[in-house]
Amino acid sequence: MRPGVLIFWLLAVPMVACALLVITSRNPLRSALFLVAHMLLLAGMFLSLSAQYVAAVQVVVYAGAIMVLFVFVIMLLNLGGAQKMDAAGLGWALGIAMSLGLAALFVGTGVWKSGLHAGKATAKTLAQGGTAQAVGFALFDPELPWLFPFEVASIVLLMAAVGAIVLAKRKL
Amino acid sequence: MNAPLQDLAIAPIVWAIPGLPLIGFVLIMFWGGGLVRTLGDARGRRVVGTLATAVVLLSFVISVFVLLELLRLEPEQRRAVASLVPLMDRMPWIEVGPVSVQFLALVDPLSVLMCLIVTGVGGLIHLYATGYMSHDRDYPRFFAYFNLFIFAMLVLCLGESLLLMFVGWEGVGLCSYLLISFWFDDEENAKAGNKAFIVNRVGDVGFMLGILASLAVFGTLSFHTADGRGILDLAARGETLSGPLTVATASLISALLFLGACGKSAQFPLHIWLPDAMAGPTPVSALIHAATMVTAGVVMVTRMSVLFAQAPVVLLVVAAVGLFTALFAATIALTQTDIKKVLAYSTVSQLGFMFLGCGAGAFGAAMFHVTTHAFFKALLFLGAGSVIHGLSGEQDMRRMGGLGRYMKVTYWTMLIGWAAISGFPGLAGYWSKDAILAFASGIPSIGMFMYAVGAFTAFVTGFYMTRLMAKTFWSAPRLPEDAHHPHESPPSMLLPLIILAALSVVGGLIGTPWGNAFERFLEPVLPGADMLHVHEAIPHGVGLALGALIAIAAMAAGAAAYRRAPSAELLPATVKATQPIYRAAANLWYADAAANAVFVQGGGRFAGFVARWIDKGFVDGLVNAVGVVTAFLAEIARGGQSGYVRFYAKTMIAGALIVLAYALIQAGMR
Amino acid sequence: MGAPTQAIRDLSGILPILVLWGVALVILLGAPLLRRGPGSRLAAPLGGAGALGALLVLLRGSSDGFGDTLFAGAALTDTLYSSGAFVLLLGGFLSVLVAQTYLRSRDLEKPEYYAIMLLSLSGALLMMQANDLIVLFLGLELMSFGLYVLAGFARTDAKSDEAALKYFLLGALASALMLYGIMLTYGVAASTELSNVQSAVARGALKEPMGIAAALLLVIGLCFKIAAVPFHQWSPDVYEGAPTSATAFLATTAKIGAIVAFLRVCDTIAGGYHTWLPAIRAIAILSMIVGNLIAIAQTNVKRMLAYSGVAHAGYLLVAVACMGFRLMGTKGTQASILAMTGAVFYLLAYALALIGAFGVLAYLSSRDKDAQTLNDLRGLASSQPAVGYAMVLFMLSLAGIPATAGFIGKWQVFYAVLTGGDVALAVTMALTSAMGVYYYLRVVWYIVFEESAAPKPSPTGHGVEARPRAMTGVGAAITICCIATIGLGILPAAISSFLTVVR
Repeated sequence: MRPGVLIFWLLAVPMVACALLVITSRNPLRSALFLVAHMLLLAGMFLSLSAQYVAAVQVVVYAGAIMVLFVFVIMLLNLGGAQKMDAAGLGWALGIAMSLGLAALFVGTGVWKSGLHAGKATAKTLAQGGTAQAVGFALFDPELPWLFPFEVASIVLLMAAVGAIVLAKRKL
Repeated sequence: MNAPLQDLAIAPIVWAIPGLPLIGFVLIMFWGGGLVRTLGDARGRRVVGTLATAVVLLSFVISVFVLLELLRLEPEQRRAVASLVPLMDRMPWIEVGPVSVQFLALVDPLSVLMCLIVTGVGGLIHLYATGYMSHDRDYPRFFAYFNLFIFAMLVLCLGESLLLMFVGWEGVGLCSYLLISFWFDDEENAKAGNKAFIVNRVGDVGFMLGILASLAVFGTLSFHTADGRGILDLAARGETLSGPLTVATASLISALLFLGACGKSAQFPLHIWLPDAMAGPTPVSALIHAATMVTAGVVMVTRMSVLFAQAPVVLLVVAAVGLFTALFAATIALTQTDIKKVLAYSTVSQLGFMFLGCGAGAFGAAMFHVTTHAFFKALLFLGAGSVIHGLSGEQDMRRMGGLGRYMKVTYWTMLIGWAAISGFPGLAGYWSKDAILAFASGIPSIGMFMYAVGAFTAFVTGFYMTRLMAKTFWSAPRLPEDAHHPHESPPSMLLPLIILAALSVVGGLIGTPWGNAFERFLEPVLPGADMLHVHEAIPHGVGLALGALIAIAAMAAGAAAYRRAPSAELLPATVKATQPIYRAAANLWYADAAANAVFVQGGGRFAGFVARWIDKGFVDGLVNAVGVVTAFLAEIARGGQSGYVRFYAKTMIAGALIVLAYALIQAGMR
Repeated sequence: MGAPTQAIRDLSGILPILVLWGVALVILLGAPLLRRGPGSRLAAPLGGAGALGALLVLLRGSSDGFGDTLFAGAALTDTLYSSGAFVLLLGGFLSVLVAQTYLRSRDLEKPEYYAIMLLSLSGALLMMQANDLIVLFLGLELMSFGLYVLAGFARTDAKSDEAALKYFLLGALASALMLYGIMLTYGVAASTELSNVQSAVARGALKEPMGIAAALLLVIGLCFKIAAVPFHQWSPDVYEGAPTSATAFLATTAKIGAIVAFLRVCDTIAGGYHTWLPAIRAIAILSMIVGNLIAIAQTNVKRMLAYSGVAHAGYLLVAVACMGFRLMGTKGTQASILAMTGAVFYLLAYALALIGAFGVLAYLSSRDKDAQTLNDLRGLASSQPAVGYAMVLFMLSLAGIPATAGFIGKWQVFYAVLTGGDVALAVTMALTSAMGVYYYLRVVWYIVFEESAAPKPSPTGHGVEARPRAMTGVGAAITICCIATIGLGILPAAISSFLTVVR
């Protein structure tokens, strides 16, 4: 097994496990912490793909800022205790079955026929592709189609912020 | 059949024929109520009524001018198009791809004939309604709808393409719905309106599919075009858009169109709405459910006769359905006690005769019967309305009798109507019914059978009409003690009766077998002899003599029977209750009940637990049945609407899984 | 480098969006002034001006620069976009008019409402202009965020909260599926730009499992937005719970934006029609049947219109299905172009009738009563004839009765699918439309033939609580919708210069 593939499996298995634990934990705080773990592993995955910048952002923004906020809210609302889950039943089983089915389809369509194969990237592109500079050039170069969606994203965020305030604030 | 389109000098004002009633509708709809309020009740009503009547009569005058103009042309050249929009040569309506539908009127003998009937008889009925409805609180609204109906009917008759005809077709259906339910305080009327609309939808689906099929086959919706590529142009040459017109194609289209005609013209089994429609005001019954709208099916079949002529099997079905409906409805009419119900079933029966004519290939004779029927059936309905008016709303013939001496004009005009519908020699109904029966006898191999059944139905017709006259006018009075003193109707109601009576006497003379001006007039729109061979197996003299004999026999037998029964009941009550044939007929041959039993009771047990969801009393009979079944299905589907997000999400995922899995498996199998 | 001119060309291509963004920012920044006092009367006019301004800019600019890609291939302008945008912005403007009265009478008005509306409209415009699946997705999210918030705008009303939450959760799920589809598309095409996707499809990308899954996940995501079966279940709950003005807006905006995007996506992947066409046909037929069937059992007009919206999604999917015929000979190509024009006209007719109908409900609502059920419409024809008959007209248009705009729209789609030779879809459409008349008629029934529950107005013509409402926004909206519904039913050619899609 090539080292890259080995690292992939070393990261991927715990990552999926953490994701599952997020939704199965009865304690919201524990869920949040598993999410942090998941995101850190994801950052590792990015690193293994030579996407240093994205990996850093993943750690700083998601695993750092956003998750801290999550934990804050959970503490603030005093949701520390275990939450009651719905009893297992037919619906539950059906849900699991369907999720597995969907997962199988997603993974299957990605892998079947085309198979898992190494990327076409060379060492040089890898070294250049993941830096903050490279990402910056890609996002802001008017000759590339990414500038426009990048700007649109800011409007999406504005909309989300305004929406959250309108819905949350009792009196404006 | 293939003459090019002509230019008519009068074309620039053809738009006014449907346009004037539309203007009347708009004026009355928006300002009628205000007018009544500002001018005071009596004067306001007079203005509204006069306006509504005047626009229709004015349309009639214009139609007469168009007729005169048309008559100046050679017979085979009598075909023109005219814009339906004032001041514009042609205004496009829908332009999708190569198909263009324009607001054009087709001016030819058939459409002009229908315009004359609709505006002429319609105008008289408007006049009558000014008297009949004078006490109604929604007087302006009634006349607004009435004018709108005339407009829609004229669009139906004049429309240059199938689609424009469909616009009128739906429009008259809508007006019929609004007018049947006009007295909406009464739940019966409400139900009837719904029933009429929904049963008609069944037919309309057929019509719509027929339109789509013609579009696919002929690539156009116009009847005639300048370059000779209209539906009827192509069909007359036996062509389609691509290749020759096969019998199968012609049969498919004409069968679908005939389904539409069955709905509108109340042919078995879609007849169930018409008798219930009598719940509306009597002028509505006379105008819409006797003289004009219900004949739209016959008009449409005649308009498309070139196509029907190439579908012999469908023609046979048309004849069979017509004949069966004629007999079936006539026997029911024998047993009804509500004066309007008798006339309603009589209308269904007469419409059956018209389709028998169409089926025999005698489209001219069928249209002739449409014309004479418009005269005498409108007369009978208006007469019945006059009786009902005189008795302050009584419709049950068991509580009438001896009215002849109170209502002289009504009586004498009704007498003429009775003679005309029964086929008394020389009157309108005699000539047209005879023409249909004579042609029916020429249907290959079963012509004589058809003739015999038709003649028998004619006898039954004479008998039930005599029964109606006996119960209403001749027998001893059976009015309840506390009833108002019967009174004659006002002149505005009597004048239309007199004019229609005159037409019922002389109206048939335009179509006698000797010098049949009517047939010759319509000939250009009908399939030529080379396409459809029609003949009469019975010689003229024999047919006419037999017809006269049957009519007189029926009237005499009826009169004699009721003369010996002073109570105007032929059969004792016990016989009525036990005699199976009588009971079956009195129960409408269980047509409604069958619909009820199959769908409502059968389905009712099945759907017991959802009964509370069914909007009880919304529609009954077949319609209720459809309602139960659909509501039941709706309820099953609605069960999925639990309100839980997780359930919704699961449905979505399941849907996604099915879609994906299906596509992948399908791809794998390829 | 010629960057400045290129930048100006790019920006002028998205000028309607810029106008919307600009006005939205003005409203947001000026919110403190617009919130209360005399300034509060300005919020709605500003919102209306935003939508109308974008519409005017669109009409002015529609003469030049067509078929071009903008921003290095991220967006484009063409006639499908411009005709769709015309319908969308007109609907947006009418929705502002409805909201002006409704929010005021329900005491819900905040300036942010209009800002969110405008941003949401810009999202829908982006979906139509997208030449790249990423832009399409961003537009979809921008539009949807706004709709989620508007659905929950009546925050003290539990039903409104529930509507927003349900819409958001299920919408997020749908977005996730769609995003996965975009990712798989990148997997097969090595690009998300539509032209590249198209050439990848031409090379047979949709024969691989990954390509098949990609195409269908895109289809599923868009089906959710237009509420097609089985992705429709959110719609009745959301339609019912959302404030009426928001329902009018979200029902039309989501459908217009998503259908135009749908047409574009399916047109792009027409080469692999055999993978997605069966799915779309099945979903269309299911939607037509299920939507019409369940609508019959409804007594709440908003829910009824939600199910009728499911049915209309089915009819519109018939037009989308026509995209699959594009490569099947000349007839097929003709069918696909006809279907685009037909779908846009259909959307216009639908938007007019739907906003009109919700406008009537809004018109009848007051601070203590939110008109929603059939009972609220009882006897409207005699108590308030103008509004009553307007509602009748909207119902007839939705039912597709001739001489209304709805009929023309249905006819165009009919004709397109018939040209494509798909008889099954055409017949299903004809049969289910006939079925649909039943429940539209029920509304007409309640309006015209039921006695009004409320006491009759006094003989002088004005009841005790006569409100001079006809002069306000919703009255204008109803009037415009009425005139346009009749006008387009009789003279559809009047608008064809804006609405004809050329290829």
